[in-house]
Amino acid sequence: MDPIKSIPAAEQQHMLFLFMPLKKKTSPAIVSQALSSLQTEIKNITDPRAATGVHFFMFYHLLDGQAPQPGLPVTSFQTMPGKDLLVVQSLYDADFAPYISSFVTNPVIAWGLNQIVNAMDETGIFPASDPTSAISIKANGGVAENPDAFNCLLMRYNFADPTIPASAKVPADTNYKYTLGVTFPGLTVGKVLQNYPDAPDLWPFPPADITYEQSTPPTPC
Amino acid sequence: MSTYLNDVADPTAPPLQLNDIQGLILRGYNFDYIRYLVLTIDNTNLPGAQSFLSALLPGSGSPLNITSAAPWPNEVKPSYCLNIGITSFGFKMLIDKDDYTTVKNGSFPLFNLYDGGAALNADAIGDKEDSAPAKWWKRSKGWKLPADPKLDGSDLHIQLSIYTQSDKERESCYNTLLGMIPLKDNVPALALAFSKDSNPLLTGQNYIHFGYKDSFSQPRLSKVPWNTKSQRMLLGVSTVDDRPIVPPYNFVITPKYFDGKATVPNYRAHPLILNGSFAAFRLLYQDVKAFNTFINKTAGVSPELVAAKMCGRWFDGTPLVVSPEGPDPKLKDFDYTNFNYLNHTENQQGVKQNDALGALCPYAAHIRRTNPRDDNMVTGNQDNLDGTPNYAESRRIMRRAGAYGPDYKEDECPDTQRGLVGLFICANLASQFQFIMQNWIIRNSFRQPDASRNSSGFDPLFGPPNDSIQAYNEFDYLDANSKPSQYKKIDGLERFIRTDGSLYLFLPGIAALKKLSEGKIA
Repeated sequence: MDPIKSIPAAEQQHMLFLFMPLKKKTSPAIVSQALSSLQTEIKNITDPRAATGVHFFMFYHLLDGQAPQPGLPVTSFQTMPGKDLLVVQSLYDADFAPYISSFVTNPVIAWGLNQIVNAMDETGIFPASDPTSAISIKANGGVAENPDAFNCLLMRYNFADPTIPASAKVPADTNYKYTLGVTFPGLTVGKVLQNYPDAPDLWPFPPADITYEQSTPPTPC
Repeated sequence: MSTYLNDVADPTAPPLQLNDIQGLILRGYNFDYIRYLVLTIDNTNLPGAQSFLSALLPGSGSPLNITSAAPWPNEVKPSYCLNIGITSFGFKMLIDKDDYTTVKNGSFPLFNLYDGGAALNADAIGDKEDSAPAKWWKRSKGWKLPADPKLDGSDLHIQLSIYTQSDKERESCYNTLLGMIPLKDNVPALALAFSKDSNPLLTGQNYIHFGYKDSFSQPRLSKVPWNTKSQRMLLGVSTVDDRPIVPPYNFVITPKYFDGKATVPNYRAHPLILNGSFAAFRLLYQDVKAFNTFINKTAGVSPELVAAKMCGRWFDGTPLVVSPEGPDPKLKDFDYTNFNYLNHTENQQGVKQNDALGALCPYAAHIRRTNPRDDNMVTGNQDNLDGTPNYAESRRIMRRAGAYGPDYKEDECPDTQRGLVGLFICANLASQFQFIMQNWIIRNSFRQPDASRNSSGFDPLFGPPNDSIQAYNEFDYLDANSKPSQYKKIDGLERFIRTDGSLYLFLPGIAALKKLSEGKIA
């Protein structure tokens, strides 16, 4: 078997890296409910994992005025005064638009995404009258009814480039604004489910309850 | 008596304003002789261009008028049909810049692709390398202007299509049409930039150069009067039609309304664009020699079978999922479109076998990837909220295209130009035309799961732009003769369809055309 020498766009991994302004004092429950809709609350639907192609995601809700590492003067992600911040990071398969489309066309996931849109506060950032604003999307029926607007909204706060592929070695002679590495380029979620022995049994959908042993932090310095 | 879908579908949808909608959006004319024209507006004679558009309006008293969707009296075809499309560059010339911005902003997201035009968005649909905009128009030998085409397409403003039943009538209409263009200092207000004729091939009506019979599975629209059961019976058209209904708002730009489940459509429309539509005008060269070489290259496999696996139909149009062993001459009428891939339709003929594995019709086959029907594992074709199949409802395209150029001969001049030319009509160019091209035709992995070794590669009828992506260089299909069934791999897939020209058009309603001819938006 020859090594993989070319990877079509639909099998590449890309990064999503959102910094989304939320209303001040947004309840953490809003974010956690939205997360639930993305994962465990999905029942009675076909396994969406291959279609959505999510390898991992992180949701980080930062309250107004908080710092991720208080006491450390290094500037990291920070809230806009008067707003909370939701940081979302994900590694996903294929192009951005069909990736997002696979979420908004799922009613349960769309419900969760609408919770996020409803919690957003773009005051002073983006005009509410624009059809791609969070307020416009909410007023016009939510993400499922406004898929193109939702794409625009996400891309507005996406600090990643949806055309930079995750690669196993740093590509030479590129102007990429960051380096995105992955151990198995081209190994999509769909391929894992299809080719890893017993994958659907080992990692069923919806997910089984898993006990995680306590991991050990490094020795305090 | 069973309920006829067209008679009951979309009860809350606003009635179609047929007199205001261009005819080609809602009905196929089925005329054999078509001429596609692209015109450039003389920017020193805008009033002349506006006067020409005004003369084209129905009821203007001119010798030729734009054909609306109003039913033909007694369903007798007129002697000609004429339709018009306007590029964004033409649109911007016809109205004030601020007015254009108003229309654009009031019509999100419908102007997103249209605004920049086909050349700007070429990469996204695979129009690169030999199909890149820099190579468009002149190569096909239809370019008429002394100057070279502009790279961004900004010199192309108006597209007209003349439909007639004979070559003689077409020539007559064409001469009449050109005679209607006002002159200033002996210079026409609109110059002919490009022209291409579509004629029936010797193979037969509705055949394309690769040898397939075409134009089978157009979207079945609700709300059009000639689709009611009584009208179809009067016209002698079969009513055994299993095709799902597609709401007209996917083709005719419609104000929002509640359809009983949700507010539709999911776009906004400035009043000017209501009853209009958008379209991709495509000039697609077809390399018949390369295609024939490819389907004949595998020893022991008939070229007809390879061609059928590539398309999803045998050359005569018989669907593979209906008749996997060969063409079925007994099929008629909607037998060619009454089929699904997972659960057979009520009147489906033939084997009626669930083809979730792509054993009959490969996932890669052209008709399966351009219209996946009930295959809900295809990205962008997930089931509806109520669990019913989506049938790619929001992705469908109305195709109004036909063959150009002479029938292929082995000893012909190597520079002979032939292919497919016409319009691919939809309300939303991004979520319909571009989505299909970008996600289903030029990409693999459009369906999950897919056990083929190249995740179904590139649409084999189109073929990849180059050989840089290994997964695109081969065509794989499940071989029914191998036990257990294994993938048959045919290497050397190459580009068989090359883009030689492309425009994104707005097809205005009649009232909108009148407004544009006056330079107004309201």
